[in-house]
Amino acid sequence: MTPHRVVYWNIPDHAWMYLPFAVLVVVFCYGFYRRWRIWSKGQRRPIGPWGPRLRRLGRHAGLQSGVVKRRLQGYAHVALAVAFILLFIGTLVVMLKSDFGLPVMQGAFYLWFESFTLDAAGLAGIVALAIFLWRRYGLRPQALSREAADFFVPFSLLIILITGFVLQSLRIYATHDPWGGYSFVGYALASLWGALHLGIPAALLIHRSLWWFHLLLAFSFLAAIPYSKMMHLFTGPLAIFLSEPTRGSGLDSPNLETAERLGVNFLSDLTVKDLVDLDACTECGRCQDACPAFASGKPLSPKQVILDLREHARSRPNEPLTLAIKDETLFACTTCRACQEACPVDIEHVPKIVGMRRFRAMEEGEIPAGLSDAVQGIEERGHPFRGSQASRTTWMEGLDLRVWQEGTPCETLLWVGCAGAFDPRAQKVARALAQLLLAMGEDVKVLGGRESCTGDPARRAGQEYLYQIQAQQNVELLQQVAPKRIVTMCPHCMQQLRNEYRDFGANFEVVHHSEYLSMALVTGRISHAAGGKRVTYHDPCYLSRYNGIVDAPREVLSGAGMELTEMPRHGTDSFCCGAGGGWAFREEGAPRVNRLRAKEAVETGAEVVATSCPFCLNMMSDGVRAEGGGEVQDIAEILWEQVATSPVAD
Amino acid sequence: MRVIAFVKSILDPEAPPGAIRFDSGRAQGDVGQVLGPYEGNALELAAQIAEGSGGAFVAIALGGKEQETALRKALALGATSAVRVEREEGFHDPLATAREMQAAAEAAGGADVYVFGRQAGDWDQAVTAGLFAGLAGLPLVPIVQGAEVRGAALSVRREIQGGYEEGEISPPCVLSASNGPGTLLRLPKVKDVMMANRKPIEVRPAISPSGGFKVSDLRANAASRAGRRIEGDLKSQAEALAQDLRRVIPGIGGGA
Repeated sequence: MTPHRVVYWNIPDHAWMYLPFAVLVVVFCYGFYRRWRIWSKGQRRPIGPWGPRLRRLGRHAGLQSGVVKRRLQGYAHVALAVAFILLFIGTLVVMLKSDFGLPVMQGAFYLWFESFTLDAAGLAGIVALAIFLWRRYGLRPQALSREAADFFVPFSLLIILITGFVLQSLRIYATHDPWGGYSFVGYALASLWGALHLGIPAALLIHRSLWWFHLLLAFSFLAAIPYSKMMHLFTGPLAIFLSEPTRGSGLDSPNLETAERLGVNFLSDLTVKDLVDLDACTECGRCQDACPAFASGKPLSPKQVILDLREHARSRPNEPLTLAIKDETLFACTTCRACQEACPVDIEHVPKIVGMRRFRAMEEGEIPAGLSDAVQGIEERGHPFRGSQASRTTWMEGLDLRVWQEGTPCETLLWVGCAGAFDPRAQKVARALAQLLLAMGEDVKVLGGRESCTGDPARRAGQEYLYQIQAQQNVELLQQVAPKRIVTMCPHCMQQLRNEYRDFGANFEVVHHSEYLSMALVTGRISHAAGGKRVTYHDPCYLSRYNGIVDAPREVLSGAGMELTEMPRHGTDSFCCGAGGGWAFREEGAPRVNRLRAKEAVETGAEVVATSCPFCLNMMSDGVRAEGGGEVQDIAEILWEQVATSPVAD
Repeated sequence: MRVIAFVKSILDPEAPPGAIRFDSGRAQGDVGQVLGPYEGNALELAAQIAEGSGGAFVAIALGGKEQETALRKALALGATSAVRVEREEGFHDPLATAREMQAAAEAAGGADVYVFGRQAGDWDQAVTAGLFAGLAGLPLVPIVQGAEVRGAALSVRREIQGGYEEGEISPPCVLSASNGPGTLLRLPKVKDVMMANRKPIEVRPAISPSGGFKVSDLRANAASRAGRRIEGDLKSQAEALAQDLRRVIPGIGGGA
């Protein structure tokens, strides 16, 4: 006989299930409509190109590459997701048989998919759910909340899976199913009924009652999806698809002359993607765990920002967002994007925060002390530090470095950056880099007093107007200079020149000094003595997370003969130094972010902490000194020391 | 209350002396213009009084086109109009300056409160507000760090040695603003900045050429060029700084 099973066995009145099914569809659709109504308030942005978005969707939603960064719960989530999909397909197969009469519930397919595979999937789902419940209620991590809804979702799923197995076992027990062994979980449970001498009439009664309970619970669960965080089944992939497919800025460049409102203060100022994000959050707390502001006790949890905005969107959608998010929360962010990197569904926290900062800064003139001085400095003097534009070339005194003159060609333009020009510590890095470039025989020039701040601190502070003025002036000047390439030692400047200035017509070849030096080492343009120091490398956020550059600086260090030892958090998972988002110019109370990061660096036992950002350099120098660590140097300084002591260089 | 604030753009005081050259009594160089620091306090004070009383606020500056930096800032902070009295850059006799200011203020319709910075950031004479008050026959409250409108009067907080004093004055009056928590210049709203850039600035001729003291030569102090950077760790930097200070300022830290 062909292996098979009778669909709706022992449920003669199963047609009644279409009544609760109809209720399910109505409730589900209404819930979805309510979400859609909020999303439709958002600003629409052009979607294309689709290719990178679909690839990202495949990686992050299909392969769940973000989820599995945390091994145990990550793989548990993958198991549950796969189980969910397989069991859904299994249910569709049942529907094909019962409603369309297709002969699919038989033969090998029935034995190996409908019986064996689905049992394995159900069992994997139960194990995954047990892990989730154990983590949330056993380990009780701070990042996971323990509200009623947090219990409802995994517990109801667990009950659905368990009752499914019990139903299967009762059928196998009552029918003496000859192929029951393929449903190995149900088969094992069926032997339990035998051991308990359960009577067949009782088994039939229990089966029929439990079937309706299982069905109603499953329908209730499905109907509740748009009203619970299980909505992420739909909004997660949607949020991933709508997210910035490349490591760009995620910030738009609005026309401020025509904008009705400057910045974000109402739901309608957010984008559709921003609003989908609110419903995509699964409250997993990974963003909070990664956030340097949260770790240092500041009043910012990226997860709570999303949840507060979601609550605001649902309860008072027409009220200003200043009611939901306080200034001290907004301005606590370092814009390091650790939250976004950690988020498994690609929620973009930083553009929302910067958008709200824009409103506070531009419409209300509210920027925290210190940062406002930096912004005023950019406006009045073209840089956020002490000193005037006239001092821009002080750092290069004694070097054979030329300032670009109008009408002359420019091969390599060294974009020094305000830190390199004005900050005493960063000036040493600028000198080291310039000397390296000169030692390579580069035709390198600088802009001198004509270089002006890229506007990055102003943009991150929310002062988009000032930023756009700076951007337009700089792009105009650089188009006039027309360098073959721009080399910079500042990841913040690079982020502007390479990525964000594209909105203002820029299309320059911009390389970070780590990339340039790494290439020079590979091609043998730099000769140097052997190093040998034990070094740990701190990845600047704007280099690693914003631009994906993590190998080049390490190649420079290993090329300089250094022995590299890594901190636990490195690469794109690096922990911020605390300078980003304008914090380099603000007073920070204890505990300071740089101390947390410096502690990690010192614990590696490295002799030198290396980095490749002038802001990180200062923050790490302060932090490492306070933690009793050794020297902090830029990769250019380390390499120049090697080159300068090299017999070849002599 | 109608308020008139006198403002001034100056060569960036953070510029190194070497970047500024002196020529015909004028300091020049490839250095940007910035709002004088105490003029920033004056603007904030004027804006607060105008807001508190619901009155108009006029900004007046004396000088060339470079003064528009200060006037645009005033417009962005809520000044209803801005007037530039066309006058050559450089040193001017303070009394002549006060007379020019008085004439410009009268032409602008006068005011209940005249606000100055306590001293200009370039010439540092700190006498113009007093001379203006004398010419106008108005009471002067110097070194004001905050003011609040109380009916028809102003409650004024001013700095005195070792503390503060508060008192009341009935306009018309003259205030000279100093830096303090109550006079910290706010950031203008961007829409106001954009509006300010579109507003016209009225230009008036000066009433008379400068008289009195004339500058015939100007040189940077050689000593002020001779700065040095102290290298080393924090402890050795602090020790070297203390030694330098003991050498430069006799008697300092003698008991240490």
